[in-house]
Amino acid sequence: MQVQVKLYGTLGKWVAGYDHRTGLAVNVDEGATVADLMAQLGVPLDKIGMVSLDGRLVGKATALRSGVLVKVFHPIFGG
Amino acid sequence: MKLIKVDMTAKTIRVEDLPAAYKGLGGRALTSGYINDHVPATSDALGPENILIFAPGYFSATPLVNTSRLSVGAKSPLTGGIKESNVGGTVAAALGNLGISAIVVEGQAPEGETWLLKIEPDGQAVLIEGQAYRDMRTYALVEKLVDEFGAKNSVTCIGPAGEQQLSAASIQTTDMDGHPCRAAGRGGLGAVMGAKGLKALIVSRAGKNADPMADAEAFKAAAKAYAKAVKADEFSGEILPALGSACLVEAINEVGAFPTRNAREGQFEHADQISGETMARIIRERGGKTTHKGCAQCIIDCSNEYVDKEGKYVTSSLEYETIWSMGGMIGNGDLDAIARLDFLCDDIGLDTISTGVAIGVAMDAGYKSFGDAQAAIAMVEEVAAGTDFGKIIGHGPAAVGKHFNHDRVPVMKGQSMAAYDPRAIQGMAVTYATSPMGGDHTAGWVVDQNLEAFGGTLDRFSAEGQVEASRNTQIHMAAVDSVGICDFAQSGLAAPGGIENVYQMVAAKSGQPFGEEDWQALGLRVLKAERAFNRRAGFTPADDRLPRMFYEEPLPPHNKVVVISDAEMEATFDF
Repeated sequence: MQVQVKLYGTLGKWVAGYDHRTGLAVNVDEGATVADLMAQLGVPLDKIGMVSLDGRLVGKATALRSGVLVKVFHPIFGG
Repeated sequence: MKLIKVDMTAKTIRVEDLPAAYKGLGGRALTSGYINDHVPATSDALGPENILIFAPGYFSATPLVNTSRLSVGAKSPLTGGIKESNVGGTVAAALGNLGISAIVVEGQAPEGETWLLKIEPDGQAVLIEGQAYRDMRTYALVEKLVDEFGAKNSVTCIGPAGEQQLSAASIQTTDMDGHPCRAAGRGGLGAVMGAKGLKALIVSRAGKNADPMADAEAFKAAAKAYAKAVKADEFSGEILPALGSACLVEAINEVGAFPTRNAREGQFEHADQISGETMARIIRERGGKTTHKGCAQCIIDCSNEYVDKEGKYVTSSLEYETIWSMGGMIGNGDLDAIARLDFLCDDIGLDTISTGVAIGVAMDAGYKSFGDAQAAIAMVEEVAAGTDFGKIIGHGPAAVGKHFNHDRVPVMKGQSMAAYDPRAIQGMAVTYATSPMGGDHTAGWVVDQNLEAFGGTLDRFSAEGQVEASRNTQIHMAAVDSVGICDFAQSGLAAPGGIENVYQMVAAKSGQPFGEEDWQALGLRVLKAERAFNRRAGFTPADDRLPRMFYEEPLPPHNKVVVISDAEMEATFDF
């Protein structure tokens, strides 16, 4: 199945040629989780803060669904 | 450790040693302590009894990185309470290098007079008649001051909004490039400076007389460890340099906490057009600058220089709060227009947060349509022109709400909230409602503690634990603002030894033991002084609340309201 992926902050550096305007279309195995997707892309899990699937915040062990938009965020600190 | 007292009524200047009561204090601890001790709380914020005090952080002009932080204090014309407004740039390091702990501006010049205060390389201060600089916008003012006095100065100044004594007027200060783009924005302290008749503070950057260290070697060792952690941290070492604080746009929007169209919604459909990622790409494509050094001794470089399609300078630095207030809050997805509005606010001397929210309230009341960026620009220009409506915008969102008889005004103690909707992050409701500053995000930023993905343990839609989180963060931040460490450099606390390094640096500078209890005591001392002032000014527990809209209007997409009870708000500061 295929999912759409957007990598925020500087996470795009882990995927050669990543263009934030288009994001990525990635083929993953049925039953793959967020963590599996990150491993496939080569994005280290410890560089990731927040992940959402179609706008809903999820954990890294969450299973992906076909066609879902996966947004992957960096850690934040603010003020 | 000098205190410079400037009497604007008598035009006299006295240089004293810092009084014993304030020894060992800097930044917010010094400004809030001094204001609480010396300003009658019920006095007119724009009258001669108010005092404007500038104090660098305790660590400013030490070897520690990211410490050119200036606290500006006074009674606020916006909130009617005490105010500490914090700003970077070069001035705090410059004052520290002159051995100046604080500049106290008292009294009031007769109406119509304009003065400059110049601090010479030897630390001597002089008042200079400044009629020729009257009504000038800040960029032109700084250019003229450089022509007159040379470039090796920091300039801290007001624009037309401050001279008109408008309640959302900022005090602007120059960055490393000499642009007056760093703002002590909150609380309308530009109006206090205007009321004093002081147009600009010109501080020599040639000082070589920083306060001596009791143990310079111990300080350097702790400072080195701290700096190493700031560089090593993913956020301060890589993400902030690349994207600046604008990296927060997409993340906060994704969690539904990005107040949109005067906080009617928590997500902005055009967030991707105004995000940090988009901003950085546009800046790169046009030949502007990311990873730009805005403040003295900074090793994060979160600043940027935004340029137009021809590559010409528009503004520095485009940041998260402004992208929100001039973007999502007014329904504007045009980043070039946001950059223009940011420049105009800096040039006219306006707080971008209060001004954007004021425009948002006007649009919400039907004055103009959400998303009409040209109307927003016209409103800001009206402030500079001094029209009747411009004055209303320049007095901030509460004044706009009153003008239109419109009650959807997201202010606390008269000051607008910032770019985190409290309905989607309940802890921010506590900070906004209870901070002695009024609606203020830096006073107690508990966003990370509310998001599991960022190590948080709190349910962001529940009241549980929110009061404690806000209380502890507010105490900590009051201490951080006193030693003068940049908020974004708190990543240094992750160094081996953690916050112990900070304690060691205080001890190494002062020669007195300093530990965890002292850190807590420092934060509490600040908050107690601020709350004591506010009580005398007439604030009661009933002022530690949010406007009704936050309790009654569910915020899409999560459709939650603020659930912190009045009793819980009142328990935040049980001292």
